[in-house]
Amino acid sequence: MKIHEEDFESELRAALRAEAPPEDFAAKVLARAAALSPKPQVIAIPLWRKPAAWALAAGLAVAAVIPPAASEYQRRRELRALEARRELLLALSITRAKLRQTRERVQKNTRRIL
Amino acid sequence: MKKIWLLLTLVLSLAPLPLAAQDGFDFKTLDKLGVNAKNRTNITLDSNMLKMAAGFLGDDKESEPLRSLVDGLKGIYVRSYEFTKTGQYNESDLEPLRAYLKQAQWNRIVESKSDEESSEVYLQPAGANRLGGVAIISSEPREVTVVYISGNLKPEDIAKLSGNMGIPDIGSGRKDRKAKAKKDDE
Amino acid sequence: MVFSLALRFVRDRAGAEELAQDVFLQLYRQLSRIESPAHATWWLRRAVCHRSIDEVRKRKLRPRVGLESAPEPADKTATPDLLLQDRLRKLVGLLPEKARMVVLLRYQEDLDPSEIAETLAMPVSTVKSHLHRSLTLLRGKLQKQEVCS
Repeated sequence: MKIHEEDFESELRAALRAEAPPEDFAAKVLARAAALSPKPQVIAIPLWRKPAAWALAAGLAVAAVIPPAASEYQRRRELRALEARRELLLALSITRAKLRQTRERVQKNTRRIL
Repeated sequence: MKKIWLLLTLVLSLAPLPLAAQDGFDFKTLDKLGVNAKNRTNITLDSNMLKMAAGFLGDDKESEPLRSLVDGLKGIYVRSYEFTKTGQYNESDLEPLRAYLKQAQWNRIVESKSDEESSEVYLQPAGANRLGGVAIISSEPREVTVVYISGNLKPEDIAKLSGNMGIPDIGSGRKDRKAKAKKDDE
Repeated sequence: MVFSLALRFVRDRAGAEELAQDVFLQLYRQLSRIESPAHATWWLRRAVCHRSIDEVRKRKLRPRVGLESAPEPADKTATPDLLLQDRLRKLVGLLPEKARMVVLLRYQEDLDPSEIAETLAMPVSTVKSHLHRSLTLLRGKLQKQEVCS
């Protein structure tokens, strides 16, 4: 079977497609994490199977705001934010130009008709 | 215990997710418009990026109109392409977007066509005195631009979008290029 | 992501599972430094890449014969008729460690060269060089296998 160049990368992507861990992977990680804690932790298993637990855990993760520290990650995040700001202003500038252009075109066409 | 929940979230959340179309429309389908373009402007800002950007808009009074507008936005997508000569893009490549807007029940409130230029403005109704988005499709012989903004907008936000809000003009670069192209034609 | 990267890299399911668990536990010990889920993803990706490379080197799982000097199949009947993707995975597994990880980050995680460079702490030019050489090698080996099959 011949592989054309353009298909090769597609085949490579398909071959290396991410594979999910075993079903009990999360439980094993939690069990080992619990064993690291000084006090015994009660972990309700298989809570992770219940959608409500997913939502709660996701909410806790989002809510866990740790004061930003001076770090490489923070610096990169700020650079991304500045780039996003630049793009936002450009997008709004283009929007304004196009809305104004539309208004001018409508006015021009209206005058032509009249 | 909180740490355990955080860990659980991270373990479970790292499964690969399918790439969802942005805001219901796949803007990648517009990429072919710009295949022959000399200049391309591609902007994709989802709600996360908008939040990041909003953090750097300033706290002063002058920035307040802009900040309050951006606070209500969920996404901004711009595709703008400039070409060296006419006939370098297919008007039909805009049809998927028009079809999507029609299917999603956006109202085309403005359609202005002349021989060479076309402008359309769409609004998405979202309940009493509210808009879910504004879209602009503008085409002319050597330029085509699509703007798609979604969010929780008020009708007066449309006026804001065409007002100043302290945003500088696009930049002399684009205007100069257009002026030069026009002069080359003559 | 974590388990899958480890699996594709070390090509040993049990080893990948253990490595992935270790990475998450390492994160757990450092959770106070993590600022957001996105930061955690970035941290985990870096950690699994570096640990996988270290693990392979430690276990001396690197094949004695590298991909470049893997012999061409001399006899049709000696080469099993494997599915293409399985063959590709095996060939990727024969790449040198850093090149292998670059290919995985590109084709499994869809990272661009600058993101790969940041993850593996190597110059972007080195990433691109690894990608170019690896794809050329993989393509060549695959086509030669097809000719012989």
